[in-house]
Amino acid sequence: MIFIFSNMVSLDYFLTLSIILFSIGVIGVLIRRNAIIIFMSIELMLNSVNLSLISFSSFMGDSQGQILVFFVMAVAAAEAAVGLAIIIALFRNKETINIDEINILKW
Amino acid sequence: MFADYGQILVFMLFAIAFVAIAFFVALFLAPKKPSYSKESTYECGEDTEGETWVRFNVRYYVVALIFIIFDVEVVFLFPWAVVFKELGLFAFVEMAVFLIILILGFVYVLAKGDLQWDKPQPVIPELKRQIFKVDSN
Amino acid sequence: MIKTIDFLNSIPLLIISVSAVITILVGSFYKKSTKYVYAVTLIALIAAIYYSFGYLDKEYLIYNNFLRVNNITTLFSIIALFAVLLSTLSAKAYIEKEEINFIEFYSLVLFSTAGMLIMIQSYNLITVFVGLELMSISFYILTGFLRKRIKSNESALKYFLLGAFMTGFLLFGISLIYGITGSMSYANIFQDTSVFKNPVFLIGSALFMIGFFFKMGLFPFHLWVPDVYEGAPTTITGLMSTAGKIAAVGTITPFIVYTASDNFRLIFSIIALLTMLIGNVTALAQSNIKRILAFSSIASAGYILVGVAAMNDLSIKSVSFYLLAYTLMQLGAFIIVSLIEKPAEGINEYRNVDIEDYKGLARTNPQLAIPLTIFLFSLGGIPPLAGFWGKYYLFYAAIQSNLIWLSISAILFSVISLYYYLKIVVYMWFNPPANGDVYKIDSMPSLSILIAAFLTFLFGIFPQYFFALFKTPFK
Repeated sequence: MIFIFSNMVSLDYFLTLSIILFSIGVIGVLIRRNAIIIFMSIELMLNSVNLSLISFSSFMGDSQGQILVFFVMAVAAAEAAVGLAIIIALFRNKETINIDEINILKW
Repeated sequence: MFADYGQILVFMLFAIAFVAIAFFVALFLAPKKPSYSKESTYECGEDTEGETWVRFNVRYYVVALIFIIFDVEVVFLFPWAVVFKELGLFAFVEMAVFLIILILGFVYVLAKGDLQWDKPQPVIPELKRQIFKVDSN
Repeated sequence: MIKTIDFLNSIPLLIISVSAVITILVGSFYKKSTKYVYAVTLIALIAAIYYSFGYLDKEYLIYNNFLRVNNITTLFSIIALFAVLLSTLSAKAYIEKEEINFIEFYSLVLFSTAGMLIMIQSYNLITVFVGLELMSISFYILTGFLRKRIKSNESALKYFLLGAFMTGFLLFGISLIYGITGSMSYANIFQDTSVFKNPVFLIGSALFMIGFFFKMGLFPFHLWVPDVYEGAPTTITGLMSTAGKIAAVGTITPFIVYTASDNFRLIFSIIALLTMLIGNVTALAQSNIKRILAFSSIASAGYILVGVAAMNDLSIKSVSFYLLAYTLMQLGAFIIVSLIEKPAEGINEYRNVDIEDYKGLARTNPQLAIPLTIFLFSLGGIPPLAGFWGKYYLFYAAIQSNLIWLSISAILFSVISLYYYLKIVVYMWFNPPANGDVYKIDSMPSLSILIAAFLTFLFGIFPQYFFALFKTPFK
């Protein structure tokens, strides 16, 4: 199956897939109400960006895009740890992670 | 261009057909003798106790969070290992610095005692928020 | 390959990052060493500022063109370091009062400072991203540092979710810029000016800028600012609203000035106008002083964008001067708010942060009321204080670029803002005291207030001292 990926699929397909995944992530952030699911949607956005970076990098024969992907993965892991810790801290005080019920702060 | 996807389509059809056939053959040929232990929820041979949605001890989360970070940082080792021979000593020193910083983070976690399990006063998992309403009478 | 000279040309960054790692390690082994960690943090910040002055009027590209040291980056670094120094000086009294006196506090402040320096000095999109995330992740934790208080948790969650969401857009912008220009390095991106008209590049740089506009709190992305600033510990609010903003502005301003064409000028002007409108008008209806200062910080971001939208020789000069003035007055005000605030004592609220509580402050606590009055006058832009000259240079830069309508509306909004600043001043000086409390002030916070008030006056009377620091003019 290697030959399919080597020369037949153009860059457009990868970018289209990346944009579709990014949009799914954005919509997920906007319509879901559970903090963990919102966070998973954000991770989906980051991974779709990784896909587009890798495809640009691969088609241009340049390694910088892939280097950024490594950093994005590492940073996303750190962000996940911090974010989940914040969610746990909130859950201990508030017993909910539904962002509609997290509404003390408003003007 | 799209003709190439035909192979994938044929592959998928075969996969679906194979699974479907296997299921139906099992449905007709397999003997059916249900008993209590066969029907019960599988939990390592024990009878299930309490709700599935109990709150886990918070230390599991701490270990999981630490695991996420140290697990993913390893990703930097892969490209390093590929070019290690060409770059020689420089690459070695670079990765040594990176790993030392990473280990310092691990030392911090150890010194804080976040990975210790033998602390006194075990926390009994307790469900504060009822999922199903239980009548008190 | 990294050369030894690279280390010599990035001493402030090395000092900050090494001391961040050392403090967190020492703190985890010796739990009682908070006092020494505090001293080490201050010494590291002062040393970093001292060494930064050595890089003025120099021009280096270091670490394989990943970082850049020149007049502009050094200037923004010094202002950011100075903001961190002032807020750290006063932080100890606050975190002791709130019983969150942990070593991690100082360490996280240092980590976020390292992130700011990397961001400001970056010459590559990879370092921009890494620096931004280093700063942001430290800020997420610091925002939720009062972990027993729901408001702090909630603001941390909001900041985290929105910040990570915007990081996604920023990264998508980076990937588009990379796809069009074929490089992450500013050197290659700025080289080929024909690409700046390419629609994909325009979308990419717009998404890239959105990420920074979020951090600055500009109009469509300002909604997190009041909530997070209200919920965060007050010293951290001061840090985020000054140092964090300086880092974002210091990173994006050179990028805008180099790449953006005149097409963007109108968009920036409209965003600036709406930001000033939202910030100043919403602040009128607030009664919580942290929220008032948060909306005033949104309005300030609007003023800064007026200078950025000018996109001429004066832009960076005026923006940097305004940032310094803004740091002095905004941080000074937040330090005083943090001193007046009372510890929670089991209550899940920040106590004593309503402007009603400031009534008669001049009679009970003149040592706090007088500097707060100075800072509020300066924020309102009353001469002869630093805030006046900051706004003057920004609006002058805009007039130079024929944005006269924008300058006039900015002046009008500035006049509107006087209402809510003067309301607090009137409460303090002309109302009977709400309560007879006399607030205890330690030596360190009073030192930072003194420095801020003195410099507000100094740069108000002699603004040319600031520009005299630089022998060579800005690009």
